Amino acid sequence: MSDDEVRDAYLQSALKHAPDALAGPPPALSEAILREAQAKARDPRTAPHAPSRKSWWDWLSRPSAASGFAGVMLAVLVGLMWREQASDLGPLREPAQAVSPATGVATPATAPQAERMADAAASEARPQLEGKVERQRAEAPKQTPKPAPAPVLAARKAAPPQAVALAEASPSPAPPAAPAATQAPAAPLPPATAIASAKIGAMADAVSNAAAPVPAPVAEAAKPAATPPVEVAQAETRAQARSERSPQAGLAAIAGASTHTLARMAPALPAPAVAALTALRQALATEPARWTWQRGSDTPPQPVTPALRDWLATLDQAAAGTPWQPALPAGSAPAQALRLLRDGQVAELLWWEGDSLRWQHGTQPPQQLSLPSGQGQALQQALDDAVR
Amino acid sequence: MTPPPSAPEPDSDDALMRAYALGDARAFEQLYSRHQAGLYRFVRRLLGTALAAQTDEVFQDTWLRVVNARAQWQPQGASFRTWLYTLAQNRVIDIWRRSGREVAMGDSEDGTPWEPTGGDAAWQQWPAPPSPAPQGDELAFWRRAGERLLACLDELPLPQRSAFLLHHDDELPLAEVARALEVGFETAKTRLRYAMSKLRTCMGAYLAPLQKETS
Repeated sequence: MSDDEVRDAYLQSALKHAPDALAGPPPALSEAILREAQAKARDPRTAPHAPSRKSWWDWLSRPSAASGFAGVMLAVLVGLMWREQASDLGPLREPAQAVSPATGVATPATAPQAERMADAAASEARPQLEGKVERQRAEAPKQTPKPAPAPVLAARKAAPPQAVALAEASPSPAPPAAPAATQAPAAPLPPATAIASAKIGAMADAVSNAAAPVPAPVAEAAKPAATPPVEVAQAETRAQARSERSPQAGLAAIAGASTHTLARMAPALPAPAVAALTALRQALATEPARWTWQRGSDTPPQPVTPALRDWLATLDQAAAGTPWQPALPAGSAPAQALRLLRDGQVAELLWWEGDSLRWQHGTQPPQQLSLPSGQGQALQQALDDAVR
Repeated sequence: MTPPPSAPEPDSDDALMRAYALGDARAFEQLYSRHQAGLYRFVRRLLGTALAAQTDEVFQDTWLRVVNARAQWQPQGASFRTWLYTLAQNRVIDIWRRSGREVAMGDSEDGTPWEPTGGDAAWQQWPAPPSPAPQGDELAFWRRAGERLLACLDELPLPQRSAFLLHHDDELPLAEVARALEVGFETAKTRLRYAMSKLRTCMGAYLAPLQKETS
């Protein structure tokens, strides 16, 4: 049997002679069809791109793809909300120092807040590590005198034995840590910044790699210290700029938020006096309007002059090779001590005890810089000239 | 024996359609001029006398579907011509249904090809098929036979009508008819045989009085 069916010649002949055998489309209809076809041929958008758009929408309409897309959108939303929350908490830091009504002691107002935010960031960024961190916190009292981050440890190893002993004996590790830092001048970051950096690095690692080791919670055990607000503001600015540069990167945004939060922890961390002195000079340079000075509590505050800033620079240079040490006996500042006021509040006190310069930063115990006789007298004279 | 698949000729339907999909409007014009008359006739005869007024609409829609589907068009075993007639037939089915007519796609066939009993017996009293250019009475006879055939076509169900037209008028092989109708080969064959049998019967009934007149 043939694959095809034989055509009936009679029926075929009848078809060929039917009245409509020569019928064709009206010329106007043919023109319209050809015109449409030409128009579509000239339009490059319809041919290659239409199917891709259609297939994209078809793909997106699948339940699996739609749920995945919704998940990504939700993650972006949560990231944005987290970033907003971190920004909204910024003004809480504004009163940089507040006097505690109970103790009359000035403490950085944002330290507890920053600590809470850091803890919140840690718990949100790496919930699976929470247990590990909690275990380490529980062990912290036993290990408090043994800070874990490598920079601090290295600085302590380089410090004189008595300084380390003081650090371990004192509940406030900031002042004893100062000599340790001066023993390691090559390190560009002071220990407070190093600790903060270590924690920031740990947070970033926790975000990107949950299995990464976590440094011991030194920051939680640390007391408020001397990093001035200007550094905090700079850290915030850097963090904000970083997050604005790459708003699309969710992890980077979270890491930026962590940095933002942890940067505000910096004042709560111990810092050596030499770094604080440098930071004080930076603060005077960047926020001159907020700073005034007075000698004697009954004299009116006066704006910080370039001469005074130059004297601080000279002091900074003179202190570079000489360690600051706790002032013993501590005593109290005399009436003629130089007071540096920030927003009208006494922030720094400087006075002379012989050839030794004493400096009380905030409410911390005063520290002492013992200078050679000639250099001490020269600095005294220079200070008198600068604030005359 | 089926020849091995090879690259289409430069002016084949498939090649022209591919060229049009890439933006060559002239390729479409060639395709159109090649198939417009046959398609128009097919649509008109498939719609029948009652729905002939909608021939232009179906014809235009069919070509516009070709235009709009140019990017997705793939030969996939069927020729452009087969695909074109499939589009037209589907559009005609829409018109039929819209007009309230029943489109019985199941027919009476169940896969077993129907075998005609009479065969060419219906044509025993007919004159021989005409020459390519009949003249005079012969031409008049076949014109009237053509008129009669159109009337007989109107009596056929749509599936049989389309099978017959594709096979006898447009001369598609039966396998292509099956593809165009989107049915199996045997189903297409059965439809075709039913159509031919009914048409022979219808035309034979016409011939008897005609032959009486001529004799």
